[in-house]
Amino acid sequence: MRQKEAGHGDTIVTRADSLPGYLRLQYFFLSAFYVSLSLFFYNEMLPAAAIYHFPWEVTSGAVQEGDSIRTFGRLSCYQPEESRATLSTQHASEEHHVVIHTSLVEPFNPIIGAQYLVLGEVENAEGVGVMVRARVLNCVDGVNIAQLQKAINEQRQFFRERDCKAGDAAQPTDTT
Amino acid sequence: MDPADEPPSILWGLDPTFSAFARLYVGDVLRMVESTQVPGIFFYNMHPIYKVDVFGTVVYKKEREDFFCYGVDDGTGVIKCLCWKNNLLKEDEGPNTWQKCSHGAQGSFRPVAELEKLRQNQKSRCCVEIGELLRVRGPVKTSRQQREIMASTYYKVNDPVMAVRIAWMMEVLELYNQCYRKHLQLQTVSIGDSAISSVCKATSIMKDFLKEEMVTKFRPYDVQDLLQPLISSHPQTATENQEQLKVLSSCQELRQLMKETLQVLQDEGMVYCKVKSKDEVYHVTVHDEELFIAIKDIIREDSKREKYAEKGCHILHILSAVRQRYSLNVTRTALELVLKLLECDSDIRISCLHQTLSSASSFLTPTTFMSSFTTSMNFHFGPPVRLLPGNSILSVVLRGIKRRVVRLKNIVYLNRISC
Repeated sequence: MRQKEAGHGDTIVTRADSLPGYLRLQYFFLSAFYVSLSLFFYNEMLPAAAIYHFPWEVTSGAVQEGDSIRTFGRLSCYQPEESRATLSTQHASEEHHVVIHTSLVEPFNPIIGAQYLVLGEVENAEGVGVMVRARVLNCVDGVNIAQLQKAINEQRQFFRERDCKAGDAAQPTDTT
Repeated sequence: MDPADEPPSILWGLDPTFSAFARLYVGDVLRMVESTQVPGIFFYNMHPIYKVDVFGTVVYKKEREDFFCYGVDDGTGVIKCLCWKNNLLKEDEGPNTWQKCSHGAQGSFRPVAELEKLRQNQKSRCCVEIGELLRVRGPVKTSRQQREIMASTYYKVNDPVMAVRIAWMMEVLELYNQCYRKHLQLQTVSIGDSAISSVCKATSIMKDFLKEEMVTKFRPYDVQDLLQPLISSHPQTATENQEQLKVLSSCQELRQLMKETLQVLQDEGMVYCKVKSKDEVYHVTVHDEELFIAIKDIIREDSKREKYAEKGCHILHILSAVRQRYSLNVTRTALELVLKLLECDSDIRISCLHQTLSSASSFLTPTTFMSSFTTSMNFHFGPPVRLLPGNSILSVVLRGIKRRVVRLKNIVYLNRISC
């Protein structure tokens, strides 16, 4: 196909479907990258709040994909080449393992057997199931897990009661 | 929240949470309703709030020349915190080169090096990376439709074993249960406490009446009618056969209230019974000229005596003298009231040094010095002329004379000056 000569005043337009396949894909990703970058800087979106969850809740599927969560566990294994770590917890005579994707928090000093607190988004990964893409990974070895659990439970109870009361207060107004 | 539900702004200062940095959950800070009366003030559960205290993980960081913007996440929400940089942090690396060049003696204080250390310390506390903990205190502002905290104080928190985080969670929960969930009781006078408040009301009614009418003396039944409205305002659920009893009991109530009110007024020194008899005649202290004259006479005469000329008369001495000569029932509070008035009228000078009255003999010093009770002064009397209360022109003239006399030798005895 002969290229039309660009005359004076003509605008040169490159249409995506005129590009060959591999360039089309690159073009798409590049534009997506720039758009997301501009969005990031102009809207200044904050990440979602990471709510505390217990490891057994994460593995059982009580959390939705895309949720920002905070959870904890002992670092049982770390595979730097795959950027994958596993946090293990013992609860109700069962071992629960939470898989963490650590690409965003590397490099970090892995201490096998130490308690870690992870903050990140839940993803469903192939072959692994529920995985947490960590944004923050803190070593908190020495933490009193029982106290932490108690604090989380009390906080949840408080929110439940408050939402109940708010719901009750709203209901009479709905019925009237 | 409806504008009608908001408490009026004049009452906001009464709420303790208004003046404190409220430790709310970040989620609640973001969801607080802004006041329609004053923008910049928010409400959480009817509590007016404008400054908060949050603690959480930094999940977002933006640095500019003058400030940091950190996104703080405590598990319930994420909020931006605008943290202004200290001047020390903004300095460039100049001092470092100076430090290397300086050859101070070992162990001597080198300000440049110390300043550099301070700068490093501050930097370590203020420059926080994502994943670290930050404590922020400051007012809540709205910027570009987003709520932000303009940090007045912020610092990095080291929490290796999560102790601080757990303690914070428990404390905030406790604060919610103790303070933020409860509504402030702003109505101080509740209808249930009618017994106490009616005496208060009665005393204020009586005081106003005595002041306005310049009453010098009265009998209880003269003023009883003033308190009638307080009794009749009580809810009456009268049936026919009980009405008589109700009328009687209201009389008794009135008498009771009158009695209590008069007792309160006597305790305050506003009234006193000159003569205790069946016929109760109450004299109003501030309007009783005879009492004033009697007290002044006592002070004048006693100031002439050598014993009191030097140091003045003690208040208890005057009290006993008044009780002997005038009336047994004058209380100390009544006497203090009279003395205060006499002092205001520049007729006498009161000195107090730890409740004992010590004196210097400069008798004609004006009472303008009385404003500072810390200096020891004299319980002294003015010139031996009968001054009626409120006769300020005379006291002004006398003040002029007094100033000249003060310049003379300090120790002048009243009885040596012929009047």
